[in-house]
Amino acid sequence: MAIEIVITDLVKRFGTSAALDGVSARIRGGLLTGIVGPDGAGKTTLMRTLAALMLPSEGSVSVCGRDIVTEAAAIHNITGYMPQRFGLYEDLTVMENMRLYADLRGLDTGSSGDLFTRLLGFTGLAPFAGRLAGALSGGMKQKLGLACALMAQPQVLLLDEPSVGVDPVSRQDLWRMVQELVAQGMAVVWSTAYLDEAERCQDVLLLNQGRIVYSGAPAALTARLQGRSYLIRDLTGNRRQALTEGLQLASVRDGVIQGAAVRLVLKEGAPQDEIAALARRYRAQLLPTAPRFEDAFIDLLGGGPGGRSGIAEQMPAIPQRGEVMVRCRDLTKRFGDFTATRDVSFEVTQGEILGLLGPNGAGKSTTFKMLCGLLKPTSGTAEVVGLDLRRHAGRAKIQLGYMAQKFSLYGPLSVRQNLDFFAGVYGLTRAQRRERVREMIQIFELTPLLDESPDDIPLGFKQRLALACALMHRPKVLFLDEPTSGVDPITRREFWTHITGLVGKGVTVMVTTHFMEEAEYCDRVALVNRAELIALDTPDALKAMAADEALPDPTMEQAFIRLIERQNAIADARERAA
Amino acid sequence: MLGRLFASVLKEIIVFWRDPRARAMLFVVPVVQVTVFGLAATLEVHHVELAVINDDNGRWSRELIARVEAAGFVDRVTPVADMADFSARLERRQILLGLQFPADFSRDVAAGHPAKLQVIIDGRRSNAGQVAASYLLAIAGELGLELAGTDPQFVEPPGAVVRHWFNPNLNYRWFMVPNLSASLSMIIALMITALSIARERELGTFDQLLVSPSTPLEIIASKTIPALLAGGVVGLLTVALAIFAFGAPFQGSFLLLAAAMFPFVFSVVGVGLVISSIARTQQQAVLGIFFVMIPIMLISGFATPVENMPWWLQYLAAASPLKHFLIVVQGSFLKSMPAIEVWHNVWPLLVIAAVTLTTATFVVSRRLQ
Repeated sequence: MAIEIVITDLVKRFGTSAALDGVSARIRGGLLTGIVGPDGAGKTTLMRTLAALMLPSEGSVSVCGRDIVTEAAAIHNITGYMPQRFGLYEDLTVMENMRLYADLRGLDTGSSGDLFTRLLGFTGLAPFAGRLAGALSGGMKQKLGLACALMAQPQVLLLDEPSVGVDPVSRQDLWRMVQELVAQGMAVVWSTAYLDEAERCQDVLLLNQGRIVYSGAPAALTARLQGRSYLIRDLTGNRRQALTEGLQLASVRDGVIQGAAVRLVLKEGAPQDEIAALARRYRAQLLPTAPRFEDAFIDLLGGGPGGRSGIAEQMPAIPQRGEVMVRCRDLTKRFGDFTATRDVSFEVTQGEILGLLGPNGAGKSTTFKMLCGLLKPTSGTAEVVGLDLRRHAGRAKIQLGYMAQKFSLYGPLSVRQNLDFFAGVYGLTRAQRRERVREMIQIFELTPLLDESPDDIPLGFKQRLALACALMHRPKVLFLDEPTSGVDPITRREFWTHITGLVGKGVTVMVTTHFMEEAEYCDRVALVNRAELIALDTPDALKAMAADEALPDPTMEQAFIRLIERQNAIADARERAA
Repeated sequence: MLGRLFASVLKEIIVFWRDPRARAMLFVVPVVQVTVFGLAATLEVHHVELAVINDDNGRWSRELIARVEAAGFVDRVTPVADMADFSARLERRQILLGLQFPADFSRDVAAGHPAKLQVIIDGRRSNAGQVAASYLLAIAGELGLELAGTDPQFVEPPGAVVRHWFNPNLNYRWFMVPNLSASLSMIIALMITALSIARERELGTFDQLLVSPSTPLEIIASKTIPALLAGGVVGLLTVALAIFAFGAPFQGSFLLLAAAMFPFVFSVVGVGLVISSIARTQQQAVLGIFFVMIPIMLISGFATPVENMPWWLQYLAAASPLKHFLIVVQGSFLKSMPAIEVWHNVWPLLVIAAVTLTTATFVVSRRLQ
């Protein structure tokens, strides 16, 4: 029997809304198939249906010739499924988790010793076999999840957003493992909102609003964009301003910051006069560039959001005096014997975006938390707007805004009550409160959702609401902790439009991210590895630092991986010597 | 600062009120618990079946058996022939206890000698058995008294006569239901507060609070007020149910009891917030509640008198908010406790509240490190 999945006119309804609306596709063995789409497109529903965990409302799915409705048990035996949060038992060790999954699969644990050794070797977890699963980093947890999903030696492997919250180094490992499995003939389905990953799949199914808008090789989709992608390079002046202006041009479909350059995509058949004029105004070069899958994706979904940010336009400009807004000196944090952050020092000046990057568990979020006052340093100082967070916590906190990955909103409170609460908790006067809340509702177009719970509104609006809450008191410094993790490219563009606009008004931004496109928006990037700051420079300078003859023009992600690996090698050598 | 506090308190109240389970907890739990406890959790014994081995078969043993049969707590008296039959029935739990009259029972009674009979109780059901045995003793004693009254030759002294003050019939519900008003408001206040910080920690909103200008003291204060209201409402609702649905006498001052209710809930809220500030997840908080609640109940005098505990436990009982408030509750229901006495039991609650709330505030600010 051929290893393949055949999906025919699949419909899945929840109540009256259709999560999948007439999906037909064929997924073949020996190929890596990406399921790509914005948030809420139906990716997880499709994955769960393929794993025979959900029944279709209409249509049929067969996995290796077996029907998911009538032969669900047989399908469970030949598929490995790794959900977004794999059900690892945090209080069991790596080995105990594997043994448990082997038992659940009815494998003879006595004879599966070989299998365990092979899986541990394959996933690189062998040195950590005795460690509690709860103590693993995000990347290692995903690897363990993969090992458990592979336990039954499946013919079909379903991975639901396996790379969310995983740093580029671990992501590269996962990627390599999956390639090996595909080479052995397995059918692997990898769902993702990351388009650089989609680009590396051999086959993609592009989902939007429950329908397939494209299926086939990613390169074929990218090829449609030939001649429409441009880079504006060597700008004089503010590249973010150039992007904002570019996005407002009638001929432009989409645009992002790419290091020191601005990347613009023209509408189909649009002339390049307008962007040429833009480039001239910034005394920059306009160069045609190879289209990326992401350009094609955004084009297919109808283009990105415009370049205007209502919130930034409403904010009064903060006078730019080139002050240092965030400063840390010899920042160190120890938890018992473990040093999470060691002697980190840097400064962020006003109107700058500083990105904090690093592998999982490298001390990135510990550093970040000390800078916004969530953790107290063991030694060293952290200052925001010239105020020591330890001594003047209250005064410093009024100046900073904070938005976390999970969008810390109150589910039981309505959208309006959330806004009211955050306005109140920052001690605004009653008149100010009323005015700001009204302003936020208007700018972020929240009027139709005011009485809804934040849990029930679309992700894009949730993000707007979280940003509105964080900006209510007009902070001078904005702390963003993985603000767009797991968010689709369109929502992410809208978010960065606001951030770009705010920075234009003099707001300073500190951001942590795993997402390399986000790093490109930063003026400077601080790279943290093994508790230390190993590099701090502009994205382009970091890329140059990582470049060599084999790879003269690395992407941000490649640069990241190289710099981390280089430092690890040095540190390991030093350890061996000592 | 007041504006910030107001915003936080309002948020807490909405969060609580929006949760249908929380609302149900507020009104349904008191009604159900009071009904269940009031009707079921009683120390009185009913529907007893007993067996009799009557080797005597004389006038007085038959008289006594007839009286036992007529007693309200007895369902059926089964005569059995011998010990073997009796043991079998006891083992199968068909009977709770048995009476054995020796051959000379009636003769001894008639002669005016002390007569003996044997009571055999199922030790596996020791509580019910002992209570039933005490009822039997009362019946036998009554018979003895009557005989003594009719016949001057009986010299057996009539046993001591006990009269219970405040609850002359030892009506168990009068004791139990008022106690519930204290324990229920305690449970509700503990649940609300112990879960509150832990929940925010799980959802990530706690970080958002910590980066705002809200101080740890404000966070603690905002979590205190809704729990104080909820605990107070439940407590007073239970008091009302005890009075109107179960007809428990209320001798004291309702205002005094209501006034004492708030320091009590306040002290419990402190305990709950200490748990919540330490717990990292809601699951840990729930474990914390059990870890704390059961000892608090056990040493409070809820089920067994504090005076019967070893001296060191009695000292420990002083740290249990429930112990102090139970005295006030029982005092208000059954005796008319004067204000000064209420105060003697309220100030320890204020001390407990001050200690626990300070600890919680301290833990929240320490957690920043």
